[in-house]
Amino acid sequence: VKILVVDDSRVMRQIIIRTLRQAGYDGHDVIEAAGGREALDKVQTEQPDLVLSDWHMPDMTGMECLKALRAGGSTVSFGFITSDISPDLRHEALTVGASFLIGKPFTAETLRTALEGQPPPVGSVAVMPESDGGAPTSAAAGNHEIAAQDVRELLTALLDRPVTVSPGRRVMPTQDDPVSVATYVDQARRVSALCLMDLALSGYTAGALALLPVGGVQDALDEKEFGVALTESLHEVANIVSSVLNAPGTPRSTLAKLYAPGDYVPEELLVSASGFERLDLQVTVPGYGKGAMSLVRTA
Amino acid sequence: MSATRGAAPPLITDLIDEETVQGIADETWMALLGIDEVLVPVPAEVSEDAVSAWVEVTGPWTGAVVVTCGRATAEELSRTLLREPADEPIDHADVADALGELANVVGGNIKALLPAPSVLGLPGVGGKPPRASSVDTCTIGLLWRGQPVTVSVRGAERTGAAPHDAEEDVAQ
Repeated sequence: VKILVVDDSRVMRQIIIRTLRQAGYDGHDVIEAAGGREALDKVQTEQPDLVLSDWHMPDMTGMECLKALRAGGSTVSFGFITSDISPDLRHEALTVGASFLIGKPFTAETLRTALEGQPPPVGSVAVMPESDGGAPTSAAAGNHEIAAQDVRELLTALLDRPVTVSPGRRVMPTQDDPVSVATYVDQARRVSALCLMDLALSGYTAGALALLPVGGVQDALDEKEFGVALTESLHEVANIVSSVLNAPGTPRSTLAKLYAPGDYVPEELLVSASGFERLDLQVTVPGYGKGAMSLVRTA
Repeated sequence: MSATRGAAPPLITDLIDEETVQGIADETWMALLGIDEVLVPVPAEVSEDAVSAWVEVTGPWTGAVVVTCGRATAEELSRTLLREPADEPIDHADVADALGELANVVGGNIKALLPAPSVLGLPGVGGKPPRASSVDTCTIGLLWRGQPVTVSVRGAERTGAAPHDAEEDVAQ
């Protein structure tokens, strides 16, 4: 494994490298960059497997570097090690595609726990403890971990066909790609989770559940016209999906509202879609087609 | 966001106490320097050739978190962070860097306890930290390896005074 350590402080780079060794990563190839711009270059030339980056740096911040990498199509695993550990920065980091954020000061144990998840498995994101060096504690602590396997089994049973799932992209609404957004609330009626599906998967799951002819579904998708029948069926899919969010004995998340593809989705809801724990999947519905789904726990 | 006209910004002592600052400093020293590197809470005068590193915090409370010690102590801190032998000459840039990082880590953790939204600045190092309010401070005196170190969380001067010109390097 090749690890790129990015920090404008040479002292801190040495501390991180030393702590990596203490965490058991002494046999790995560790390279350094003294700023965001140098890191961008080194990701291109050195092809690291993981970037560990400071946030605040004078020439280019770690966040600017991460955004530039993602904009350029890089999927390199990226984690922040920063003394600035506010919830806002955490949200921003995870939204843009960081895998974790570790607060300084950190211990070898904290670093090892974060790195054991690299490269990130099936899009799930662990939010690391800030400085206690203990076990990882996601903000979803106490919640049932959303598992790709559960999604596959649920959709297979619901749609009565062998659905397959694999790691996929993050679903976010754009002008060209309307998506459906299902919101789930806990018993206190706070939004606890979201299920986002791209237009294709919204149509394929809804069509398969209602046994609508695939040609008709495809026509609706081509015209981006999500009719009443598909919307009603999608509501049922979204309702059933809540079961993968719940584990026995935990507070239950229930479907609160479904925004069909093309519906206006409030901005604040999409901000919360950065989430604390997420699962991004490509889902194939046999006989219909494939699309993308993101399950996000927001609290 | 609307501010109430005339409402005084909070004092740092309303937001954190000395015990909290001491806890953050202890944790920072032990994590970065070594598990045995304890800070003893005994206030002592820092010598005349004091050097400071700071990070500024801007938000509902605005000020700086400042770490101050003697120049020789700063060099020893740097050697310890870099695991350099005691008799090894140390580069002045490394001394500034090391003290700056200690201030940065302590400051980042203190900022996390202050009201949001707050912004953390980049570390500055020099002989004199930014000018501060005389009343809005929370300062602890410590001994590291028998040498005085102070950690001070101090509000910015509220009279619109010109900002202090930071030295870039302790060598200057």
